[in-house]
Amino acid sequence: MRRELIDELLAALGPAGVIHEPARLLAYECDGLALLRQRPSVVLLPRTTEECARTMRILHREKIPVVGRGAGTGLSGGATPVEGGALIGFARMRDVLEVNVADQYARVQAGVVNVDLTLAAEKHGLFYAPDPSSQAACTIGGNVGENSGGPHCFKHGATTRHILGLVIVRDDGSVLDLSPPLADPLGYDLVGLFVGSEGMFGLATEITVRLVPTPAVTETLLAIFTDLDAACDAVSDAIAGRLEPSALEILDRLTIQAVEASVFAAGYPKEAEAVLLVEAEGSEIEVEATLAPLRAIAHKRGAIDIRRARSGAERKQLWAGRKGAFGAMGRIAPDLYVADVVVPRTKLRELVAASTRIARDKQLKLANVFHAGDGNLHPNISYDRRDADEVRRVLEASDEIMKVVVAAGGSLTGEHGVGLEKQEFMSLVFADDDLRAMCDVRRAWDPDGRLNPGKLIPVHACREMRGTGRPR
Amino acid sequence: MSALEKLEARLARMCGSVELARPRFDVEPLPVVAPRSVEETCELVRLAAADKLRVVPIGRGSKLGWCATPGHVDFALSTRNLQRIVNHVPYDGTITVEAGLGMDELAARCRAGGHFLTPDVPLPARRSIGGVVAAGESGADRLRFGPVRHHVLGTRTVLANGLATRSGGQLVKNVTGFDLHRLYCGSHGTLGVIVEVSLRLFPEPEHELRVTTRASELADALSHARHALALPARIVSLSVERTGDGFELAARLFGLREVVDAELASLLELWPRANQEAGAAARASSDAASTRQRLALSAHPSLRIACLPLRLDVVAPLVQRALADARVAGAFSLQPGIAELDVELASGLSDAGALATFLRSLRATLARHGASVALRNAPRTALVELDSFGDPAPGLDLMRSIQRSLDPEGVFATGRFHGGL
Repeated sequence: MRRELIDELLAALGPAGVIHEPARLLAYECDGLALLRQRPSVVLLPRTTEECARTMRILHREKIPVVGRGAGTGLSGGATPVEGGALIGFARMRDVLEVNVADQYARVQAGVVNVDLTLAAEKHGLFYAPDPSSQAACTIGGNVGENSGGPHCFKHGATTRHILGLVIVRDDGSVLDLSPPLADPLGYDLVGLFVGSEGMFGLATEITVRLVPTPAVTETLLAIFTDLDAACDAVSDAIAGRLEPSALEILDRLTIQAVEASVFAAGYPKEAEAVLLVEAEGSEIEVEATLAPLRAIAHKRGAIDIRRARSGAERKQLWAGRKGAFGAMGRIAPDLYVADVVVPRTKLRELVAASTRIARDKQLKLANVFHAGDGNLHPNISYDRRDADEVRRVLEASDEIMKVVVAAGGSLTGEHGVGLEKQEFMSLVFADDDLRAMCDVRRAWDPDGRLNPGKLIPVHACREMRGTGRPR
Repeated sequence: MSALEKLEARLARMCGSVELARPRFDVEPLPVVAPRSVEETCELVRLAAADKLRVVPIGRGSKLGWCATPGHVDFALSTRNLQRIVNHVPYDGTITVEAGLGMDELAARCRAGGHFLTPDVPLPARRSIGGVVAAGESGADRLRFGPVRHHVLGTRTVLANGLATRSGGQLVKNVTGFDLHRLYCGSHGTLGVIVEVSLRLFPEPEHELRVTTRASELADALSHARHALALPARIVSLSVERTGDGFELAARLFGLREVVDAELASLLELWPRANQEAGAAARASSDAASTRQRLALSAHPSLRIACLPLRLDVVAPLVQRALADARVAGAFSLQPGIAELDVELASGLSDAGALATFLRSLRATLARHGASVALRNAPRTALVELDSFGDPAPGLDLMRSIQRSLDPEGVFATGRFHGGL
């Protein structure tokens, strides 16, 4: 990048807001999808909406492509930089601006870490429901970009149901303030459209989120199975029985072993083939009325034991195991490929089995830990990126899993987004005409296609989006 | 043969029959064509695009009074004949149907599978699911379930190029692609014709109760409501209706029997003199007493006022005073949990000018409290200077760009929606 441009950006953001030294840029080469890497020309870290807007005006003038990044925990390459492009990070926008207890919402800067928002709300008897496994690191801005989920989205819904307003910095540096929370949008639902747009419509700098009252009672059960299929069938039965717990999560044997050997050890029995983690919340009567039939279903499907968390600490421990599962996989191999697909909940057993079979055929280690209640599978493949042949097999397995899932009426992604990882698979789900409509809407937001270019939409489907960002 | 007759004949050749109707109270009769398939819908839109005809997509026409009348329109395209159930998977809690299916039939179908359909809208036989989604019409049950846009899993929509396009899918969780269905939901057919909708369903309640009590003054009613909402109960809807001699509060509870019974017990501690009805009787009373139902049938203009729940205690009395000052009579009801007020302007505003003056003043007063005021069923003459949805929203230029991007030739008649969209 030209020296005078760096100087202009330094003047706009100060020395702490501009990273341009090649060694320091290394840390921003990829997000959680470590298979794909690209060094950005510069990393910019604004502190306010105004600083972000000023920066975007400069980048607009210079026609430099821009990729937004929260904490870089995304798993689909949504925050992979583009060649010659700038990366705008939100690590210095970490203020909770307002917690409105009476109206049950909070206003935060985009870089606020997910769990910090819940901590800020907790003292007022409220919480922020979407809770991705990476919630100790991921940011609300990143969650908005990806429409992130989490175990409790089974009951509460994904991020999009919790976003009431946004302040967006547009491609040209103009600021669109959609922050006053309204019951319904006035005009088109720009906020709803923006959530999950993977950084291709603009950069959200301030976010108004809905907070939910902390339930009076929360109960967590751990049902232990000697058969993964049986655990899947128990979940399908629970959905068919129209039960409404707040979370239904499954961990398989390999995951349990990794978790129990790690710092996240939760007391899952190592001999189990699968555990089903169930949580219900509400009044005491409501919780019991929800859990009683779930216990019966688990028993009917062959659960050998059902344990109940006896204290808040035990509950936290059970969840720490679930949320630390991805980290714990590091014990199996140096790298982890986290797949993310959704299947109809009537087909859990067959599609979990199918993905396990695909990995086995390719001599790969696959562990399952997933949001069973939503049908959101995470077949996790452990590998070593230094082994080129293994990397090839991982990618082939991932492709096959996606194809099998889509053929069975499933979808490509439930919460990680399309990004670079699944871009070429979009045509499995959408026709070119569908993708063209998405391109048309994107063009209204970002006529030059400079925001996160080359992501989500397969290149053949949207000619005008190809190569619009010009390297400097 | 007049131009209108020629168009009628042409449309009839494509879709079997065409009727001349007034889709709104105060417009000239218009050809209304109801294609029998998605393919016919596409053909009709292509015809309109090729011949530069302007189209208004409609469902069963129950909510056209929410919008302004477009400057120019050649024909209305109704989805009422698109009634197929495309995919119903009770064990997955989802359903995909064509847009013209009536809300009554859809709810019955869901009930047969053990599910409850939200939104629970008034006069469901007069509404199609496509119309409800296109208008973004949530029910009073949004207190429990949230707005309709949260439950639309995906749509199939015929765009101005005459192509049926998909967004979202049929699964309860899915982030594949941009959520264009969120854009279409509530866009009043200004971006395309929604021809298919996928929805998330909820468990059919085992037990249902309607609990009512009375208050003589609005402030007392609001106070009763506030306390009820603070209970650890998942109330489905809570309304305050003005009656001849005060106000009636009604809370709807449903779910598992033992949970509902416990919720009732806590509610009765607050409302010791409350009446209760159970099951189908509760449902029937709830509908009959609903101002929403009355307004859905009324030819009078009405207002839908919305604000944040905390501000309702200020906003509701201001509205009441403004109505009294202007000597406006008509139904008055509010939903405290979701902070919506419905006001019928049955009499008192002698002409369109008086209505416009009243609305302008009310909007200015309520804007200070963050409340929006939408005008429904207004005569065309009142809307010359007024936007029925409210004062210009931020992002209006972007909305226009999106509209131009999807419909560059203006096939779908503009001028009906907010800001002239």
